[in-house]
Amino acid sequence: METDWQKTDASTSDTTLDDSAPAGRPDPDPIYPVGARYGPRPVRPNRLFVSMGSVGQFRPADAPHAIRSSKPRPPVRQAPPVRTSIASGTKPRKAPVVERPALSRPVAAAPAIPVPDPVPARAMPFVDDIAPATRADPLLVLDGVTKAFGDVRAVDDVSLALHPGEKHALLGENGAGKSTLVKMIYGVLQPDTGTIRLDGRPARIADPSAARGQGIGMVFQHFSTFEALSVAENLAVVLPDRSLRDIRRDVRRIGEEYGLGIEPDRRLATLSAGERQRVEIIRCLLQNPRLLILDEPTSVLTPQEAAALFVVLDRLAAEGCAILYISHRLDDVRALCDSATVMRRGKVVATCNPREETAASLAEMMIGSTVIPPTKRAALVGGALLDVDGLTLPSDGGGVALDGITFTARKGEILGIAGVAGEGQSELFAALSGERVLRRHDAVRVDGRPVGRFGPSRRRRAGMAFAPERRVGHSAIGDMRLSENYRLTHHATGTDRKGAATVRETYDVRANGRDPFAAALSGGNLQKFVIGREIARDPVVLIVEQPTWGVDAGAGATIHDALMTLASNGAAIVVISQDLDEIFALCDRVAVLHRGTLSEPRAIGSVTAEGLGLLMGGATPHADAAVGGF
Amino acid sequence: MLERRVSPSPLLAILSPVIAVTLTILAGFALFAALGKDPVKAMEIYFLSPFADAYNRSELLVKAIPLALIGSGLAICFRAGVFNIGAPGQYTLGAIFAGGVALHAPEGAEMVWLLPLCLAAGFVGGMLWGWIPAILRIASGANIILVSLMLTYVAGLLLDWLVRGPWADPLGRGFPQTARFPEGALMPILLPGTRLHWGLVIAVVAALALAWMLYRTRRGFGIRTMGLAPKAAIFAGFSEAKTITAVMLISGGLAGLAGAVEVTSTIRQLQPEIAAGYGFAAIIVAFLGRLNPLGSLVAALALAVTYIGGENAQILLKLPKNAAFVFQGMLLFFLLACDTLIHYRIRVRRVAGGSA
Repeated sequence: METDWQKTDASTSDTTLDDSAPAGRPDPDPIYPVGARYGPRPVRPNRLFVSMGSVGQFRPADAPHAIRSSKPRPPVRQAPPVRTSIASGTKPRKAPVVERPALSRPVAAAPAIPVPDPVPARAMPFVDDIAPATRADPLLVLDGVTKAFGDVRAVDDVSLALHPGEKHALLGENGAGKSTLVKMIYGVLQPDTGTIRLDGRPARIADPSAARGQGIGMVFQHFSTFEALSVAENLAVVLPDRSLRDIRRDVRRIGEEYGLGIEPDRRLATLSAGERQRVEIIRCLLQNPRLLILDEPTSVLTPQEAAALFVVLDRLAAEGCAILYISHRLDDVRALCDSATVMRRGKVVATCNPREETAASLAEMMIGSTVIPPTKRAALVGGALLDVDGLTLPSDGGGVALDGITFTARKGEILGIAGVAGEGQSELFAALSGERVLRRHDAVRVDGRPVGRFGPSRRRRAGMAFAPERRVGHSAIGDMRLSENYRLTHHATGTDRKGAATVRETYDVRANGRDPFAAALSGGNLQKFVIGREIARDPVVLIVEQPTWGVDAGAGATIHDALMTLASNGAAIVVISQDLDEIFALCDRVAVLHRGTLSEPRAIGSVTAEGLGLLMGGATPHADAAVGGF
Repeated sequence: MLERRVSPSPLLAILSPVIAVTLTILAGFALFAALGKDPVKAMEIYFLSPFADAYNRSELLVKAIPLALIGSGLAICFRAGVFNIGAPGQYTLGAIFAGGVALHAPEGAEMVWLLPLCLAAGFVGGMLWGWIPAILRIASGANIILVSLMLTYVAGLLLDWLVRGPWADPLGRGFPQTARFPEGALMPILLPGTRLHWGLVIAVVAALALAWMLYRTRRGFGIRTMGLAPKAAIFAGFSEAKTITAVMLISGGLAGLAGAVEVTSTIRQLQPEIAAGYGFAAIIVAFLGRLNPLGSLVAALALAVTYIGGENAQILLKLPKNAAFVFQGMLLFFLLACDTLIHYRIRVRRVAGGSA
């Protein structure tokens, strides 16, 4: 059976590549030839690799060798004209671990953006016709790893193998156990049972520094850095045994080598989120990692920056570094990774080749049921309900100053405000919610009535409702019961004693007990409660920031549905989101926030992700075409 | 190792003070044994002698009155996340204001209003002293802990100067004290034959009113919200400045009232030493009472036991004075340590590789 697949592999060699793969390379791993197994869509394989109880059974991570490397980018990347510009500039070094031919790969260059439409994978597009690496021994093997917190098994009997040069995705909803799993690999947590083997030997990774010592590097979602210090000084803090001069030199060298250009003497405070991430990656590279773990790395990046990151990761993998890539962005995973482990409730539920899957099928594996994407409603747009006119707000020390923000949100409309993290989103939210009061009263008008100098309560009385990004500690209080949390945003307008219960029922907020503490709810359930609580105000204008941030797909769909229904009922909604997929799924118009200024809102049909990405990166739109038709 | 509970344990919320007291007793055993005293006898004196007879029992309540008044105010304050530790200063100012009214009342005038006026003046004095840190905090971000604490020393020195200077008793032969307050400024006795006075009623009423405010009014909701999550409180529309001002005025006012009650009942004049240390002990009361004004009533009694017991032990066992303070300190320490159990559970850490 396996050999059959293998033949299929060989017969469909991909002619779009200009690899000069030498003959006589070892055969790809026959055990798990994902690429060839299922044939064209719509035969979906998603439940075939259920229950990866032990490594021996399926050897899931062996799979990538059948499909690894140097394929053309999947169609989702939409690699534009400049296909080889970067590849030509970077001469791949000799792979130190994997014996792999030097590749001059058509690496996707910027701007290559995953677009939200679920393009079905081409039938067997990535058949591995070249060097599926040698049957190198796995670098990292997890065998039956379990970690429990109290009664909850966050990670339950997970087995996984990673080979040098493999780009492996760890997929799962929030709370599926991905982070707990990698924390054990990185030595932050210790497994209760099960073994972690590195190079075939059982490894005890006592703490992160031990992990680094064994060649495991990790790029965190949020970087812990010293704002006032320079790049080199920040790196010196974590590399105490190297001189500042050496570090400065190495930063330049790595920067050139990988296209991670960062001036080592720049102060951290002056760097964008994408640049900070580069510093993090350089930090890992300085320690010569054999395994690089990235936790949701693209959440702070523009599509262009994400594409550039993938180029770097491709290079690293080509040099034999294994990549463990944690994400919930399915398009990213499909673009980058050649194998994926899908986790649900702490267990491995499937292993697959993400490029063989559609975003929908991956989502289905992650949540265990089909997600029906909310259908786009026909917007019946009426008059302006929210007028923001020249809203200006000074920085409160460390924050971003808002400068002349002007937009309107009309009846029945969902207006999206896109932008990468830290461009003024939370400041804009605070200015709209009244948490920060404005000097000019008519800078914000609700249905014609100025509210700029009002605090949150008076703005609520004027018909506004708000849901900030952070749940615990901002939109809700963990140590308070749901009924009290309901009261938080209803006390000024008269609270309904049964309000919390009604919201729970309407939005299927699941939790134990009659009136549980907010802290006892999962992120998705709490967010459903928060959004439901605000919709229960029956607002004229609703401002939401990152409505589905860190929320499972099921809850996300419920929330999107609720927002669309609210808009259809005649409210104006402003969605501040870093998630372009969300913007495209929800919004009728979109504007981009960059360094505290807002671009002209445009109809969603007239913009592309690339165009938005350019604005998010700070490009000035010269003409409509620059944004719309990039 | 400690592991966070999914939701706080209601059982341990009640049990935690009990465990803390038990541990304090055990540690007290060790302490007294180390001091060469008979621990059983010491414990008996500490915990049983205060209840031995009617006099001791009434003294217990007399001690508990100022502690309860200040403690319930501080409970509100700490609930809002505002750490007013300057209650001794506010207490002193209350005493000064009450004393000022009592000493300067026109002689022979109608006396019915004098005591209420003294108490009201004390309340205002404490409020003003508590307002200063609030204003500085709001205007310039000054640290409430530091400012309120330092104002305590200012208040103490102010009192010292007053009783030695302008307000010194002309017949006092140079002693640093004022004249005795006129009869109309004195707190009537509640239980004849004891020193127990009407302050008890004031303390109970104040605690009830505060508890009602905290749990039944929007202001109270805002206070609790501010303490749990300031950002969420602002999001909910509660002003941080208003909340800080309100709790500082309330806790300062109650500390001032306690000072006024104390000088009009047991001390009956102003002198440099007016037991302002109640203001610090009340911090223990507030926490021991779970930052609930009604809990403060119970906690004030508990602390009064250690006061009376400590005094008795000093006399009967010749214990050093500081032993009583060590004992109080241990109580607070164990209490806060046990509070951890409400939110966390102890779990013996398994070695990785064992069975799950």
